[in-house]
Amino acid sequence: MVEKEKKSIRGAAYGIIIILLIALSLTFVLSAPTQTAGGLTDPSNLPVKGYMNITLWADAAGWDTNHGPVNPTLYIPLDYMVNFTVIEEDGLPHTLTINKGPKEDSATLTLLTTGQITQIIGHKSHASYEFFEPGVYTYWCTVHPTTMVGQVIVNSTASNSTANSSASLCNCVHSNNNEFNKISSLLPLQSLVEMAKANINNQVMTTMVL
Amino acid sequence: MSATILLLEVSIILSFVFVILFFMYYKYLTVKTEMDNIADENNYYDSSSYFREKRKGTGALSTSAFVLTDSKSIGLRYLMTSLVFFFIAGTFGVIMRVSLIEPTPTLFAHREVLYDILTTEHSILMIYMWAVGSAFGLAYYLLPTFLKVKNDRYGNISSWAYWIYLLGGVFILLSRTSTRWYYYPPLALQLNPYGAGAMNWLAVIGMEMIFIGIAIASITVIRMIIFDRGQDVPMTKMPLFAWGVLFTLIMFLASAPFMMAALVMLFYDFFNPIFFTGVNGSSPISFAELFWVWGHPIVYIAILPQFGLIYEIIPKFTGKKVFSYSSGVFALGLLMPLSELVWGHHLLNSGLGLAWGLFFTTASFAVTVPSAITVFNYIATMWSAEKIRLTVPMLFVINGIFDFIIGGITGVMQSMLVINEEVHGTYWVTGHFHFIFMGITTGIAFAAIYMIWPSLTSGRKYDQRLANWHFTLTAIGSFVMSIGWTVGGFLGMPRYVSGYFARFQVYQDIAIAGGVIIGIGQLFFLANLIKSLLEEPSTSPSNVLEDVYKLPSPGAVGGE
Amino acid sequence: MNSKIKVEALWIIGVLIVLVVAAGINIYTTESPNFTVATKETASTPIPKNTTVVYVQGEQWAWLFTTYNSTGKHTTTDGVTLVVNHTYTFVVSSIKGSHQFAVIHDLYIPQFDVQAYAVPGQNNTITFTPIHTGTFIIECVEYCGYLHYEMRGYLTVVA
Repeated sequence: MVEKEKKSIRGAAYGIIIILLIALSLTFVLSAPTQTAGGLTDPSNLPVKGYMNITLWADAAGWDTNHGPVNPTLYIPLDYMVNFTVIEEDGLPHTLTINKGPKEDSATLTLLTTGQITQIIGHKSHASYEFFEPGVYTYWCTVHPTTMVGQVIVNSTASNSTANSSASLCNCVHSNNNEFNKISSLLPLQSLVEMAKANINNQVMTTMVL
Repeated sequence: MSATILLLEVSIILSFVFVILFFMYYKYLTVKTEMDNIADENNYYDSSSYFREKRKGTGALSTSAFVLTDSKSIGLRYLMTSLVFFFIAGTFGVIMRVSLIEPTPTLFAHREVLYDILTTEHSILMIYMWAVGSAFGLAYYLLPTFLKVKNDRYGNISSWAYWIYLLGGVFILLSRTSTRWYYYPPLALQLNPYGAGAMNWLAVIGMEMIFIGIAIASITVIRMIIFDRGQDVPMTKMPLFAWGVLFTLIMFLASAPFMMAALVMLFYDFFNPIFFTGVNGSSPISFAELFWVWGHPIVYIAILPQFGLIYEIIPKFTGKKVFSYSSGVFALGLLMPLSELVWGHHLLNSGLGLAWGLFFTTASFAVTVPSAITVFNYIATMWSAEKIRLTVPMLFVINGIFDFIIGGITGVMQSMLVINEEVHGTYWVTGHFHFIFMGITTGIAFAAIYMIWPSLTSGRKYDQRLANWHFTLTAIGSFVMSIGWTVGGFLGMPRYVSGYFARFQVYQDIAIAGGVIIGIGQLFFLANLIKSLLEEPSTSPSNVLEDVYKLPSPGAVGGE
Repeated sequence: MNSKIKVEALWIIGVLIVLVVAAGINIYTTESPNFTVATKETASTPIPKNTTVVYVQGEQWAWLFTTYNSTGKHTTTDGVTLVVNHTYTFVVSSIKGSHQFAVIHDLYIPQFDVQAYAVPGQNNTITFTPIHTGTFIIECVEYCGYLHYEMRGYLTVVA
């Protein structure tokens, strides 16, 4: 009798083991790393098509480029190594954090932490990052997420209407049927072109860095 | 802590470990010698088969199968693990299907790679752990009685082969790879979530281990078939299942080395990419070619043993012998060389050119002939019977033949160059092989499991009602799923995608319905297994399938 | 026994006839001028004359269509516009995008029965003539990584 009971428990155990193993392997596989830092870092050696510098002033009222417009939208070509320089403006703690998508997200990559952006007014801190996938990104400060937030647009076409000033400096040839032309291939390496978009009252609305 | 102290501590710990290991080995040897002596006294060649047969509670689905090394126990190991992996990979399949309910990823939104991982694990585990595993399980379990094997040799080697194979399967699962089951480089070399997953190297090792395990097991089974047959079973009177297994394993040994070599080269490429990256004259297509030299025969490896099993199952339900034994052997044998010639039809659009394309497509038409002979033989066997008993195993067989005919016709269609250009890489192909894999591989394996049920559960019957539900849902679900894919694929629905054009949603949703139905059906099998194991034994632990040389009397056709 | 062999022989002959007819159709259709299969570009298989060449490059995860004309180089991503009843040769290749390797892709335009692998280190050519106007779909049907499913676009054929 004892022998029989033991056997039947053993039999049922086989079914339970199957269910347990299914649950275990499913949990394991579904917890696979999907992206590294929200898809923002690629461990491979990325090709670098060029370099550009962006300087931002960190102020709790908003990011600005030397007291210019607040939270400018940054236009960056694909596969460019961007050297960010952040200058402390108000002595408060700030971070420089980016994530994919037009809004703040939880899957982020913090380029500069509060420790790196020391609360000493005028201190410059540096970080570089290469945007290797086209799309809209958000850059923001995790301490002041409501005020210090702006957008990065990677590989977007600087369509001819928005460029009003320095466009003649580069010999860009825009093919009109090309939605996503890679401007980067037409620019010389190590170049810095700034473009500004103004509204009808000649107020600068957006600054683009190309 | 200084280095000396560390070294001292490590050596002390290691010595303890070695002492314990040696003691365990000593105990094992003592028990083994004792068992061998008892077996010798009782005129048994090896102790494992003696204990399996003489001691109660050591047959069937129990942990003792993992300790004993006779062929039946090893067959039970393969059967048990293949069932576990079937349920794991099946759950992956259902979940990835459900994630496709909307054209844009919803369940795996922003984590689309999870779909890729699930698909890869589903395909690799289903092919290597379920299709190959269940075939090996049934071969090891049935062949000793089919062939009246006297001396059950090489149990230790088979046991090692099993453990290597199992570890390989676990490695595949642990690697969470998102390459495809064909490991195409350079994607397989891209060790990050954007490519093949960070642990893809482990998947390559796991695959190599699976191959080593299967290769060792193949050689022992071939040996058993050719040299260890009983005196009164000549080769010409071997059951057709033995022929099927023999041809399968020869085919395996002839084609697997290509893949094993390619995997080693792929592994080398992780450190020094020279073979398959497409730079400096190397070509990724050369890996694809090496893979498909193996990859096409494996689809026959997954059906040939089952073809042989159908020949064994049908007479049990009709009471008539197989229509033509010799043409059965001929067809199974002809499939072996022909299937080695058609691998190029997986790469027709890769730039092989028109001449090679015509060669491979024409060979693909020729490979249909043996399948046609086999199907004819089945139908003729059933046709000539006065009465067919339609219980679950026979229903699985009939459904399998029906699905195989549809899968075969779609297969012939897609081997035309013009149609291949239209359907290659689409769900048409997925539908084609799921017709065959669900109908033949899975269906016949379940039919055989139902037939040997009393032996597996040491004398219990399966619940007919649950088994009927299992069959009905599996048959309907796989048909609905595959037909949705086949139609959608013909209109250009690509496979292996986690999102799709909205115009294909209706076909995807049909396939999802089918997939969920299959998933529910398998739960009935699991319930049946647990239910019958909880009951008291009610019948003798022998089964009709193993009793291969005796046909059931016309009055009592069939049986389980 | 004899009748058995007769039935089987009849069946095999029937199957063989069907298969030979199918194989014949297979060879016959490939000789039609409308049919081409992807071919590796070598010195002996150059790009056909009198066709407009479109260079198609697959990268992770986009299709780039490049044409050259008198106004220079024109590249479009995930979409291309062609002229109806005009013969085009697609030269399909794979390039390294922003990721580690150039990987295998497969260009597929279902409504025009066009399919060609994009293989690193090799150019595959395929010639075809769009005979209908409208918008058609372009897909990648060889798994190429994370966002493989987004590697798709539209082919526009204009009069």
